Amino acid sequence: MLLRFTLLLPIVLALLSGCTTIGFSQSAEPEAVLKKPAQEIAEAELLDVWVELFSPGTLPEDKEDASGLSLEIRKAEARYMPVQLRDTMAKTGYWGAVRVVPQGNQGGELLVKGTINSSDGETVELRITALDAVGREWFSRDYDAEITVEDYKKSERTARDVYQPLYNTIANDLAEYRSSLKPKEITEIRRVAALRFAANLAPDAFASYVQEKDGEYKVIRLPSDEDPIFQRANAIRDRDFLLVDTLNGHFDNFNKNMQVPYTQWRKTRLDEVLALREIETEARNRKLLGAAAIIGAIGVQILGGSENRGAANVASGVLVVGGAAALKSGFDKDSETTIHRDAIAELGDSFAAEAEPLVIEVEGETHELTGSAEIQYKKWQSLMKRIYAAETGLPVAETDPRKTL
Amino acid sequence: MKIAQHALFAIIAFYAANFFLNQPLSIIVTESIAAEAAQISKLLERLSASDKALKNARSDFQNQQQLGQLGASEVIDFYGYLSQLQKQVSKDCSALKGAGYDISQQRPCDGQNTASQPSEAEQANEQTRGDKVSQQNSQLSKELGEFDEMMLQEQARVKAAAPPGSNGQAGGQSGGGQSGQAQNANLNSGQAGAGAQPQGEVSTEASAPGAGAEKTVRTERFPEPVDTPNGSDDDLVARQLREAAEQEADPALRARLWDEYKKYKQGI
Repeated sequence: MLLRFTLLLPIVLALLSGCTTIGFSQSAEPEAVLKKPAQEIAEAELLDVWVELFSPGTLPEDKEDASGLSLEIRKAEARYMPVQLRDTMAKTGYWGAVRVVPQGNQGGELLVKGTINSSDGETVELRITALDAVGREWFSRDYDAEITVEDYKKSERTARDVYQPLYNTIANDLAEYRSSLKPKEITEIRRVAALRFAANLAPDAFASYVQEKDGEYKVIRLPSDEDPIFQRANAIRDRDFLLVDTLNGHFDNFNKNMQVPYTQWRKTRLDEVLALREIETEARNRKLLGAAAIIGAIGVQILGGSENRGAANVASGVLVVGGAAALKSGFDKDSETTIHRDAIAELGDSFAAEAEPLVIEVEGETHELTGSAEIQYKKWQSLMKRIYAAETGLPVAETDPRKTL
Repeated sequence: MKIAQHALFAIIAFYAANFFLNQPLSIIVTESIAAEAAQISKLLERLSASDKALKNARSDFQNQQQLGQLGASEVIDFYGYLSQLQKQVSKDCSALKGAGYDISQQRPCDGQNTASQPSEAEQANEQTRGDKVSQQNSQLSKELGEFDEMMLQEQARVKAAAPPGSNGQAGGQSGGGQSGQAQNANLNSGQAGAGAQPQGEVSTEASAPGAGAEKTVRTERFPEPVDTPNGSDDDLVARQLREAAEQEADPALRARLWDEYKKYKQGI
């Protein structure tokens, strides 16, 4: 009978400890290889991409999950990740110029938007939406990856970001969609982008060139390449690119400053989370073992029978004492988790304190540059209107310069 | 009886003389008035036709513009046509006035310049408008140039602020044939067009005329100074500086751009 309980005990323990696992694995394709076109794509078929600064999303509702995370960190990540995605996409050869732009910008041939659903160094989940200038949504998908300690080690060796497989997967999906488009469709996207910019800048001259219906844009007709008004609009569009290029210099500097502390924070946080989880598991296992031993002792007493009373008393006594010791040890172990919880919170505070001034600085630079460019743009818009009126002798309607096509 | 015959002849002669003496004067006066009236009538008819054509053209223009059927160049052409018709109306009004007709009765002549040399005045207006466009174009070019300079300074500042160990390059990343610099599409051919024209020169030379033809847009390039690095190892910022300097028409500004380029290269 004693043997029966001895065999039963591991089964009970296994059932009680249930689904607890210690290992971690990446749920996204861990070795997602960046796809490249089989042959070089003609320059006329390369779409320019604008990757918008991501939305920081919201923090987990669960207090434990949100430990050591903050909106300051998310804001920093929302600026860091688009630059990583930009660099990844630029390597593929599928795209023209790939630029990161502040949110709410118009003018890109392909606009990639992102929201950080979660990011804590161990898991990352992004919602990515891609829209072209025509107004067609390519897709809106969630991407996630789980990162292991081994990934961090590999990242140190290869100098690659640990989230790189995720960026590769996103870039591959974008390239796949782009490959499904016909050259005619690519040309249409490029034309619409140029005409939307021109129409926004000089609505009197170009508003009728492109038509919008239910959020989709269509080219009605094309201006001549020699059209002086269109040439002026293009010259101003070039300055828009120049502005974005300059902004990207600031974003690059931000990423360079962020790279080491961000990687360090993610890695250290994961170390602490794993250590915490290990201790929690150990504490739970010990408590379960103790509880099982005590239950076993009761079982031995009930089912032991009168003929083995002596042996049963001894066995139940041993189980009770052992169980109590295991329970105590489990509770003692629990107290060790506090150290790791505090460490996680402290790491978060420390990194947030480091990232916040960097975010403020890059935000300041962005506002300063875009603010003065916006004033300049409005001046050009007004000048274009006057040139158009002088050139054609036609009265020009007053339009809302903020209206964009 | 003879007396009666003489009296009758005398009466007949009197009436005949009277008839022959009065008849030519009446004809001359009537013909002269009729010719004048005919001329005025003809002028009025022409004025009415010109005015009708002008009104129809204006109406067509407004309709087509509302329907969005006119391109910028078509608008300019249309404007030229309207201007010609307007000139014709003015000319007709002047002719009517010259013919002694009171043109204040004619609505098309309201506010018309019926001075002796209307075309000269209009030519002067055209000239003024051309000057104005040219002046505004220069202003745009100047502002674009200032903007380029501001961006170059900002990019130099970005480079200076780059953390150690990074190249601090400004600009979008490029995966394909285009660099992170400014570029624009040639819409009709679907080909990528020229890069930025740093001084805002909006005039370009097309190798082949006609919409839809494949065109190459060329910008004049100026040679580099003798002591300039060859640019084979240029990064993005250096390349932008180099291109800006090569395309700069103003020698003073070009020299400054080359200086910036050299300084940047020395700093790498």
